[in-house]
Parts: sequence; structure tokens; C-alpha cells
Amino acid sequence: MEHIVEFKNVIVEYQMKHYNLRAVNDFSLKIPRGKITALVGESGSGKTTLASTLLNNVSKPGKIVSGEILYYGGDSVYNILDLDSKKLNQFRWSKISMVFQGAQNALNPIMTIFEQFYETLKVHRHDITEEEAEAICIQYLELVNLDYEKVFKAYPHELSGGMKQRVMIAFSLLLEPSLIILDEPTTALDVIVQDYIFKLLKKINVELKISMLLLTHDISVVSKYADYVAVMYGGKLMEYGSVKNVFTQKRHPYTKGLIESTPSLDKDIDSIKPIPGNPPDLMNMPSGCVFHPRCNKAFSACPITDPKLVLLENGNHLVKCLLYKGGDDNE
Amino acid sequence: MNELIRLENIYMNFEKSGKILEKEKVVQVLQDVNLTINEGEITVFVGESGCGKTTLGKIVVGLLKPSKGNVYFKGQNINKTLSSKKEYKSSVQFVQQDSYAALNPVRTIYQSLFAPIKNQRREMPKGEIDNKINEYLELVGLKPAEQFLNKFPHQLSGGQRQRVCLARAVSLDPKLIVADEPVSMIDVSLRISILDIMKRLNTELGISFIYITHDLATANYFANGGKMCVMYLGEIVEDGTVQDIISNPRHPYTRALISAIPIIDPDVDQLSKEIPLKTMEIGNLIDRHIGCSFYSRCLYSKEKCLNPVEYVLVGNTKVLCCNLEGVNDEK
Repeated sequence: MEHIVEFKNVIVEYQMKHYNLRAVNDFSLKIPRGKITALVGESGSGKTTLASTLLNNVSKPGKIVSGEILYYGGDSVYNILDLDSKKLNQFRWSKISMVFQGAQNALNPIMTIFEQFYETLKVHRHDITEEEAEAICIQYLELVNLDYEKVFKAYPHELSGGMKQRVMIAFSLLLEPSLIILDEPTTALDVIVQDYIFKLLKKINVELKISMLLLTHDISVVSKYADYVAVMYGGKLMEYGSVKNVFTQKRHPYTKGLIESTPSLDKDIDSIKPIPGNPPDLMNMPSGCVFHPRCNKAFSACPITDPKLVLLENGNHLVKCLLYKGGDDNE
Repeated sequence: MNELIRLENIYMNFEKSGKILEKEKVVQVLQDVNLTINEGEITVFVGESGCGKTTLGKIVVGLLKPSKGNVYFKGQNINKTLSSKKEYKSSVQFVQQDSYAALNPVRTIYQSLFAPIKNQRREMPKGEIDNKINEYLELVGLKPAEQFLNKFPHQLSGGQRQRVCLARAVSLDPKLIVADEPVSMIDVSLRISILDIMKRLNTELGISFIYITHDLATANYFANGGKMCVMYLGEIVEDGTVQDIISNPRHPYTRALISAIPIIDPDVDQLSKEIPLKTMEIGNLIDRHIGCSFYSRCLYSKEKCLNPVEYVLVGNTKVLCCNLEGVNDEK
């Protein structure tokens, strides 16, 4: 399978006065091209930090300590972290763009939608005229089913939450990127709008062949809309595979817990169980496997040995758990 | 069952100032809401953003005074003949969505819990209040309580803060807790445990709950066996038991809501299913037309839907729809 981005042993630390907080810990993953890959994790699991490394845009005092992030663009492969500031400015948004968490607040409140689109286009294409910019904007606003005449001259406060989110999606498409990062795109929206936005994203994914990286904590959204899923916990990758494999086989105890703790209308109410305990304290990480204090299958080796990611037999399914030795499926 | 709260013909209007020389606009948020809440009962208000569910919750708690209509607490009108305002105020408690904003950041958990009890029971000695605080913290699963007493809200996780808010609400021995999206900002793996605590408070202490949400899946988990009011644009469009409504939704809007909820099963093709709605745009609250407020989005709308609508009783469910035969025929 072709890939678009590859994380290689990425470590991100937030450097504080007395200690270093490791938000992303030795993360390696290849993101497939042309697919929707979901990155699932609770708050504090490091998913937003990881996504911001793709734009080399980790907020201070965070720092990418080591690792490589390879971008596979057509005929050339390069490490995003090696780009100098001029090249990086060209790279951002035109190759990888991002729909930020809380689109409600991501737009400039004192500029109209068109002014903001035009400003972005102008930075990347200096010779663009207003008419050309307008044509591009109309094209993308229509793609996200917005009435451009209404939206064009509107200020953000005149639009509803769902409309602003669609404006942000159009915004992310503006420079024809090959990968879009979607950071919790529907958290503040209700189910009907959520479904509408995801169907729109799926259409964009299929028609324009744009790869997507979807960050979310809602596992039911993943099973409905994504193709591949990576599960993150305490800054580490716990499981990766196709949505079908991960959801039907339920290999990793954490993934299993996540699936079982999510209420759903088709499930028996008694089968819904919470995961005991609290998410890990990043300043005081558990030894061995990060998940062992909350795991119902933990045994004597779990607090001592940090498991390696192993490839399961059914291909392209990675699990980080001592229960699995890889190769064959012995439990 | 004893009646606890009765809402009678509640209307709520907010005034919106127009441009200079223009008439003031009136936003009609609630339209003729009638509802009874009995002791020990769980009621869910469900609907999308802007449907008035939070406004209705605030009216029940007494934070907002309705523009028209009456609220009765144990048969007494709370704005007129209420003999004991104190009893009403402590009997009806509110738990908000954002636990961080709901707790004073410069007060410790102990101080936040101490003040309301002291305020209500001035004669109670300090030692007794301290015991009560310990008891309530352990009731909501914060064990050992001493560990939390001297912490500040920012030192707790979202789930723990929401538990503190619940403990604070319970500390005044309420008859009813209005919980406004109490778990929407909490990680999926911890949501169930918060809902479990609320369930326990309901069964063990007999506290009634009003659960306000847009998430039908958690509503089904928490309020199975309780009542449900589906709201659309300030009206209750369907009113019945949770089981009836979820297994056999009658109103076209309820059907749309239920069809939008993702199911955790990658084998079910959910993407090809369209949501049964004409348009995504929610109707306008400012210039309401007579007749069905769902008219503009309803797939089954007929000309007669523009006449005033009345509730139809189907089984034990009250439905606000004028063309139910049409809806059922096409099912």
C-alpha cells in the first residue's frame, strides 16, 4: 500500500522548569494515501501534539526531541522536520492543512469569510487577482454545500456552528493539499450535523482523493466513517489496523474497553462497562505497559516490561500488548 | 407517584435588538411547553443545539423566569404562592456541562462544598458538615475523600471535577437534579462511570433527574425505563417513555435523530443511508409561522401542516405531528 506520511520514532517533550513531560513517546506509524485514518485517544493521550508535528508547529514549550516525519510527495520524499522556515511556510497548508478543534473560534471575527480566504491565497500565490480568488472560493464553498452568496460577505458570527465548520473545511481545501488533519471536527456539533459533515468529508476523500487524518475520542464515529484506526494511550501507539480488523477482533484490552464503554443504541445496556481508573498522569507515568493499572488482563510481567509493537498474522494489524507475541495469534 | 414539578404553558421569548429604527425582534425560544416531573423519575430532554432544552432546564431550576406560563413545585406556583422558597431552591439542583467553569478556581473542593451546606443549614456545627462532605465525596466515587478536600479544581481531571459538581448538588438533599450535558466534555471511557453514579443516586436516594443531552445513546443508557421529551425549536414534539421512543419513534424528527447515531459495527453499511430530512438548515426562531415548526425539513409535509398542530396520542406517546398517517404509510 502507498503511504503519504510516515512517523519514525517521534518523541515530543514539553520542557518545564523541573521536569520534561513526554507527550508523544517513540511513535512510529505509516499513514496510508487516499484513505481516512482515525487517531483515537482520550484527552491527554497526545493526539493533538502528534498532529501538530506534521506541520512542525508544536506549541511552546513543546519540542520535537527526536525522530523523523517523512512526507511522500509524488516523486520525492523528504523529512518535514528538516525544512527551513521558508520552505516550511510553503509546505504548510499547500501539502498538509488542518481543520482545528473548535472551528467556532478558528476564524477571525473581524474579517469576512472572503477576506480570510483571499488573504491565505495571496500569501501562497502572490500574483492572484481578486476575481481568480473569488472563483476558487466559490468552487470550494459549493463543494461543502454552502450558499456562497450568503457566506461570502458574512462575518463568522453570522454563521451557525455547522456552517462555520464547513467554512473551515473549505478553507483547508483551498490550496489543494494532499493530506488534511481533522482535529475533533464535530465535538461541539449535534448528531445530525455531525453525520452531515462526515458524509461531506467522505465525499471529498473519495472524489478529490485527499488523505485524511481524523483525531477523535469518539470510537463510534471511527467505526462509521474511517478506513484505518490508530489507538493512542499515554503518548504511545497501542494498536493500528483496518477498522474492520480492529473492531471485530478487539485485540488490545484498551481498545476493547473503549468499544465496550461507549453507549450505543444497538447494544445491550448491561454489556456497557466503564474502563476503571483514570487516564495516566503524564508527569508520573506507570512503569512497563502504560495501560497496566487499568487493564483487566494485566499479569505479573505487565508492570515491568514495556511491550513492543507486534505485527499480527492477519497482516497490517499492529498491537502493543504482552498478550500477543506476533506472527501467530496465540493469546 | 407524587408530582414534583409541573410546567404549564411555558413560553420563553428573548428580545434581540434590531438595527437602528427597526423594531425589536423577538426570539421565541419556547412555545407552549407542558410537562410534569414526578418524584424519583428520570426525564431526558433531547434535541439539537438551539432547540431550547437548556432554557427549559434553567426554567425548572428557577434561574430563568418564563415570559408566560407557570411553574409549580409540589403544586405551588414558584413565582407566586410558594410558601418556602428555601425548600424549592435546595430541592432543585443544577449540574452544568462545563465542570471547570462551574467550580470557583480559587476555592478548594472543601470550600466549594462547605459554602452551600452552611448557607442552607446555619445551625449545623462544622464537624457535622465536614462529615457530610466526606460522605458525599465518597458517594460520588472520590475515595479517599481527604485526598481531594484541599485540592483546587485545576488539579483534578474533568471526570473528577464533574463528580465534585455532583457531590455539591447532592449535598443539599435535593429532590431533583437537572443535569445539563454532564458528560459531553468527559472522555468516552469515563462517561459511563459518571452516568452510573447518577443512576445510583436515582435508585438509592430517590432523586429525580432531568438529563439534558443531544446524545441519544447515553440517554438510552442512563434513562432506560424513564421518560423522554424530544424537543424541536422550542416545542416538545414527542413525549413518551425512553424505550417506546427509541424502539418505535413516531415523529419524523425523532426518526432523523435516531438514524444519525453511529453504530459501532464496521460490517454495517451506514454511509449509504441518508438522513430522512429535506434540508440541514434549522428553522428560524424569529419569524415563526403558524403550524408545524418542522415543516421546512419534513419529508412528509403537506399543505395541512401549515395549520395549527395538536398532539396526537399514539399508545402512550404524545406526538406533535399533523400528518402521522402520511408518515406511517411511507414507513
